[in-house]
Amino acid sequence: MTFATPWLFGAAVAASLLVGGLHLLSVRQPPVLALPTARFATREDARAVARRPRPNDLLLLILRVLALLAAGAALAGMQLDAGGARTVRLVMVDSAAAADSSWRARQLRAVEANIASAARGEGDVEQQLHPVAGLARDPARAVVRATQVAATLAADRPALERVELLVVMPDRVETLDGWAAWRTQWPGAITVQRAEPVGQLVEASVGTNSGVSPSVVASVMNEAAMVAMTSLFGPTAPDPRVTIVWPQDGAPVGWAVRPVPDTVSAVAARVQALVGPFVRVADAPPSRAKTRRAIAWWSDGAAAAVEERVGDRCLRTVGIRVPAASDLLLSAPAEGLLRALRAPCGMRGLRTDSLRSDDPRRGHAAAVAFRAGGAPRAGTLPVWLGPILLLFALALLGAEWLVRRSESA
Amino acid sequence: MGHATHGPLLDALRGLRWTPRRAVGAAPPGTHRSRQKGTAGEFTEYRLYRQGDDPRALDWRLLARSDRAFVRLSDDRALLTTWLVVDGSASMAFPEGAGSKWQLAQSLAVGLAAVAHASSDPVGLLVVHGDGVTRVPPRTRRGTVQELARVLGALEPGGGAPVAPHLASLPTNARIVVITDCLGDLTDLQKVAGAHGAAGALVECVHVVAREELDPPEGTFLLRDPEQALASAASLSDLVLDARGRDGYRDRFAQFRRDTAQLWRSLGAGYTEVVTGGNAARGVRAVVLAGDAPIEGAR
Repeated sequence: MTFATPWLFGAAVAASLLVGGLHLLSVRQPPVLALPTARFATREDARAVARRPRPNDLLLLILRVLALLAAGAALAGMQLDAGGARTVRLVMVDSAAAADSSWRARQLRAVEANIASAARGEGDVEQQLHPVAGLARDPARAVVRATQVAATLAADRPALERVELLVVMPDRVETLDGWAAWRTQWPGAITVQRAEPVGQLVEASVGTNSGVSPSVVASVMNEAAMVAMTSLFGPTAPDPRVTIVWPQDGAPVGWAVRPVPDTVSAVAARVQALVGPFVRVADAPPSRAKTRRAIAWWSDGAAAAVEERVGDRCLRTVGIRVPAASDLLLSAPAEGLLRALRAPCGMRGLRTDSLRSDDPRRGHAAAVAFRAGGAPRAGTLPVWLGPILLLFALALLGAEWLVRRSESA
Repeated sequence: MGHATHGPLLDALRGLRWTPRRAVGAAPPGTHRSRQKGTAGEFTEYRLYRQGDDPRALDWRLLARSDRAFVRLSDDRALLTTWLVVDGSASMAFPEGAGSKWQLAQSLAVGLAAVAHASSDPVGLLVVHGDGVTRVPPRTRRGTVQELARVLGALEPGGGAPVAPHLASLPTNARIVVITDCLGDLTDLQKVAGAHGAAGALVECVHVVAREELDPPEGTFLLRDPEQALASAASLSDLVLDARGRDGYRDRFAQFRRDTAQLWRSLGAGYTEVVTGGNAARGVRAVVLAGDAPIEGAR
């Protein structure tokens, strides 16, 4: 049980204590004597205030205190079962990795093993896994996303006291520029967990494609993609070590063709998201090969394009079906996808060895730091609790009035 | 309270005569000395014969000896109507139960009626109480005392109606005995009584005081005047009687009684203070004998 504005309930408790204190003081009035010659007595205040060991008018005291507490709880926004755990550990992983259930299971086991000692004894830690699109390119996104999640949690859970951030960091990323800036925005320590390399999402090996000649590759190249690349990059030839396989039907060899295609709203690559009415007809099969990686993702985190290193060559397979006459790839957001496909082979990004965990003494972020910027829930939880408490307080006050009236009668 | 209750009182008062403090005015023949001079058998004085005097009143022997014509004069005897005015206000019901001022007032009224009736005086009754005014005209017939006792026994004190207006309606050639606790319209009552006294009435005040008023119970009390029960509690709640104020209360009440007695007497009226708590016969005797000292009932 928590309160949106605890000081209001504190005020109600203080008022209750005051009422209780007053009930410990008794105003004793002397008995009344009918005396016709009362006019010859003096007029003075005969009431005497004295402390009593036990409160007088116990029933009235109970009614008044309960009414005060009920009204105070209603006004203070009493929230039942609002908090859950007092500590939430946010585990930010790249969405591509998160889409791999087997990897996720392994990764979470590793994460839990690493933090088990820290978590042991706390007993009230809720761990949340949050896939972050593009974390493999820019780890700052994990901090941004974590800040959003923490602010939401802090607003929705008054009982939340601490938010821990654990970032499952890839070995390489495309940029580290934002990390330093965003890291300062997180009000606490950040734990960096080295990611186990994401399994290759392409089962088809180069071996299966070894017989594919450049002409064959060209024949499976999406016509619309060709037009777009030419439009974007001109006639300049890409890195000759790069081979792009982009079947027009969106089902590369080796990919698992879906019996029933589904629709996906966007494809993300690099830092851009291409929104369109995509139809996904095949899924990249999971792989544990370290030489393979995803380079584009569906909006649900599944790989939409993968790269496989074969020696000094790169085979990039795209599972995105784009109609031949479509101008979707000519739009500006498609640039990220096209650049990812035309990137020189061997460009695996910047190493993240320099990104390390913060000193634990810096502490983890307190929930109040996130509440300050947001508007915490002001009402009661559940919502009907407030009116019920107010009605209860009114009923108690009515009962108090009746008792007082009956006593004075 | 029936007549039988007053039996011991009436027995104690048997043979007692209530002599007026001064000669009564013109009235039918009775037992009291009248201011009128007549030719009754009891010689009082001589007066020179004046034209118009009854020749039968001449003292012929004196005329023969002194050659002067004197008329033998004697005091007339007249009746004296007695009105008993009883204050039946709520304060007279104090203290509750037996021994209240009202019971003492009843006994005093019956006793005084018996004494007056024994002198063949007409005795009337006027009671001002909560339900109004009860008036019994003066009568001399047998059973008058019993009737008055019955009327008084049927009444209950209450309210706070003033007595003075009803006192003003009484005749002035009478003896008017006001039995009251002097806690009501005392000023108006004394004003009317003074006017009646000046007009020839014999006014007696019997001040009924409760022993509890003289000596209230020990302790601290909020006092409530029974005649002001309708007043707001706040105005009464600060009338306090405690150990500190008890002496002051006694002093003020004693001063009030002294002032009251002095004022009644200055008006030419008799004043007797009777305290509850005992035999009413002593109170009646004190009134009848015009004793000045406070009289308590026999204990």
